[in-house]
Amino acid sequence: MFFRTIVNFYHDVTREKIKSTIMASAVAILGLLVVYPIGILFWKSFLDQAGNFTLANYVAVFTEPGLSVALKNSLIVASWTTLACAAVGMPMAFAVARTNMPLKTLVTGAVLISFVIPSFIQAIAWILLLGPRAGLINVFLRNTLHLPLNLNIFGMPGLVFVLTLNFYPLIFYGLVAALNNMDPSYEEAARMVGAKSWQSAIGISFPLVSPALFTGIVLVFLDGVAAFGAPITIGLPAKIPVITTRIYQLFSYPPRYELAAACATPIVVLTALGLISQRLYLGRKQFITVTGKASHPEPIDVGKWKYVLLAFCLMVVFVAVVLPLMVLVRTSLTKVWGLALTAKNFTLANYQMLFDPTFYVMRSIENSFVLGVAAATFCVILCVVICWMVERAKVKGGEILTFLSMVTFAFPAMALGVGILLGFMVKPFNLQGTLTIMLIGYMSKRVSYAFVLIRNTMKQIDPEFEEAGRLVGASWFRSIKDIAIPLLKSGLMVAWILVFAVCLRELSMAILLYLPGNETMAVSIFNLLDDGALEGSATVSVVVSVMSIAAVFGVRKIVGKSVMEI
Amino acid sequence: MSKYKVVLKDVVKKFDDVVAVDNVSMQIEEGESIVLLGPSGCGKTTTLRMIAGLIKPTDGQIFIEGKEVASKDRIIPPEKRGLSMVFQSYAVWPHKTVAENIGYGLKFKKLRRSDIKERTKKTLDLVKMAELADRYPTELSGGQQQRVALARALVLEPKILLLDEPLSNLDATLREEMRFEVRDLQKRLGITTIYVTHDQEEAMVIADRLVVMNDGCIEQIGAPEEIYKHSRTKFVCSFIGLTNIISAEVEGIYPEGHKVRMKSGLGQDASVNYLDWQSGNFATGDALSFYIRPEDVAVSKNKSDLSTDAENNVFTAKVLNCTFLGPIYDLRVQVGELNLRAQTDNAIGYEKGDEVLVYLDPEKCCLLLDVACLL
Repeated sequence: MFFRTIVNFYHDVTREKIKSTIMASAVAILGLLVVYPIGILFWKSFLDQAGNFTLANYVAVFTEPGLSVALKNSLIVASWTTLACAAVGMPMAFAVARTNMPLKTLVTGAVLISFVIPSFIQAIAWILLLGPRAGLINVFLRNTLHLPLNLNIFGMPGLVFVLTLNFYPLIFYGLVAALNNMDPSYEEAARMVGAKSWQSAIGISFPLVSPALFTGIVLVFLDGVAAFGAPITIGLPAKIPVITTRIYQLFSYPPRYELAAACATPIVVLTALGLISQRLYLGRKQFITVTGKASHPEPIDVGKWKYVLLAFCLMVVFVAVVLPLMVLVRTSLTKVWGLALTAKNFTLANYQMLFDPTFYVMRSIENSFVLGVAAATFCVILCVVICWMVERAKVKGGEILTFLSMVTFAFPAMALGVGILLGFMVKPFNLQGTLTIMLIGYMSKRVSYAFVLIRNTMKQIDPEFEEAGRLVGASWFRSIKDIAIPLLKSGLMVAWILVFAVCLRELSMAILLYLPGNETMAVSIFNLLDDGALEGSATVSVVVSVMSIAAVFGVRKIVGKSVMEI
Repeated sequence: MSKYKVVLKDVVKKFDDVVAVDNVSMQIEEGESIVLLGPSGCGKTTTLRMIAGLIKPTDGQIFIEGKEVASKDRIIPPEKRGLSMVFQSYAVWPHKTVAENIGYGLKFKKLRRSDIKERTKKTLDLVKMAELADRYPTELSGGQQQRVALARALVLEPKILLLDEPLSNLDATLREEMRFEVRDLQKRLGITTIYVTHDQEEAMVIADRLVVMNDGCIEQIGAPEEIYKHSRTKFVCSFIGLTNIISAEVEGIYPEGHKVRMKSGLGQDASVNYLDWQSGNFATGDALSFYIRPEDVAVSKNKSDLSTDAENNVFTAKVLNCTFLGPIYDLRVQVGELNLRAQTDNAIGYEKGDEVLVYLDPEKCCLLLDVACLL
């Protein structure tokens, strides 16, 4: 009897130990993934190459001509992109959320696709369409229409144009969600006091959703500053350096790591400022009227204007989705992309290349899959534990864990990549050029996605489900395994697929962290482009686009709503 | 072995700096049905969850069958306590069928598959759910889910059953029906039950003893009838049923009849009963109150109809309002400077402004002392 008691007590203790070991490891891993690289980034930015404290790096950022120009360009590009995105996104959101325009589902779906196509792929498509001499649109204008026009994508307008096609969905989805969630009685009340439907929409609804618009604008601006894909493919040949492409160049031989770290800081500071201003703005606008009500206000009958709106939406969709995808597919099926797609010029060789074991492209596809699967799986496991600690155990310091898990969400990938490289290339890690350092980088950036998604799902599941399990005899571990995980299943799947999908297209971190041997698909696209093999580059782009689109529509199937609404 | 099934000793629970449960002690006997009753935020659910092992007390001890299960530095996890619990949200697992929900806990008892099946079936019969064994919870009504939750708890043949507002999500008719069903099951199985609710009628049906809680501590423990008739505090008498509380001053004490004479806004002195435990705890001149339930306030137009020949406690009053409620009339009358509520079955034709006589039976007027929580 006495012995039994001791054994039972021992079991209780070991179980508690397993639980606390799991939780402690999760915190340690999070620290290593997030706190360590960000800390290293800031610390290194204050060192010279010999390791002594200096402010010279920061002085250089603002005075060295190459760098200060890049910083200025970044701000200019981001500002124009923000303006253009608002101009495109606002009328589209209004048309979809509040009018009787037809084909709304089609438009919404197409916007999602344009968001999913990575900006460097969008850029490649537009190089093929608007390259100064051989661009297909230019050829068409010149040879078929005999117009003395030559549009050149390589320039500031071209760069802003491509970024706009990539980022306008941020404003569109934010506004549509806000307009749909808004309590319709506010508009109805305006109608009752005599406002026409369009007057109540503009006078009441738009001001009420202005916080959502503000959020969208901040996001677009920050993404514009942090963008790397389009600036490297379009901006660099056009001699428009931005801060992210400069950081990239600082890593080429001889590398100037400390200066790169200092260059990353302005992006981080801007991001922080943007998010703080958004907080302040939202904090003041306490009248946000988002209710859970399912009832939507009557769509406004805009008469013939609905065709004008539809024409506008379809044009955007055509330019942002149909044209680029078409030109990529077409190019991938040609021997020489600049020539017409005739039987003689047709080939499937580009797709055969994907399976050529002697060529690095096949390896890059494998690497991307391995990295995507590993990053998604580890992120989901890590976040289940951390979310459980924050949401269920309500551990002390839960807010800190939440902050740490989310901080990389807003942290620019390029800056984070610098931190990861500086942090893990040194002893005791020595990981430079390995797939592991890339995995660490991917996880560091994407742990925030998994965290947000899993926490939201966990919030929706009553903790009493797990408690009921404990009360009928299940241990902590069993209650998680038998009850929490099955109930979280769809949330976990969504998190996994999204992390996997964004890892497949990751460019900025991959390009900083890879060495020959561990290329990823995005790196292949970039390298093929660099080598002038546009057909091959387009082919891999088609693969990445198709998989990204499949992923988001798969998620939509699972959760029954679009990704942006989660 | 202790003779008590569950013992709470000076249990305290703080969430950060907020005291949710403040020094609660109680003893629960085998087979007893205890109801923790109080308004929301009074600490009743927190107390229950500490007994369950879902949260850890900040201070104090909890014993189950004489064995310490929780103290400041040691806690036995819920699955090791031999309790079952029915949750407010039912928490019937949506990814398991009715039978799987009920059978899940039996797996941890290392039973054979056939035994699990048999016990599951027996329990489903007990809660009249046998034909729905293979359904998923989403296909069930609220009442049916409630039965599944109950069956899941009962199938383990627990020593102690905990119920956290189990009926609060049901509609009124079903709630009333289930009350009696739960009470009936509890009596039939002789199971020690701790039940949390804020609904005093429900509490009256379920409880052998009520534990009335307010602001984290226990104001009174006792049988429902005792608590209703001899409320210990102002809070208890106003929370349990309707009541008239009258502020007054002690004019004289008459120990032989257990009576005090009290001066109040009623216009003339009233004779009020006091209890043994109260004697000696007050003195002439003290400002205290007493209460009388509306159904104990007799109202009539003729003195001869009042079932008393005493001159004491008969007041003249004016009708302010008379509402017909079906079985009874609900009256508001003005006595002196005070408004009293009365409920009677004979107030036919009473109208606003009528002059009436009101009799407050001294036996039913109860003295209230300013006492602290039970420790």
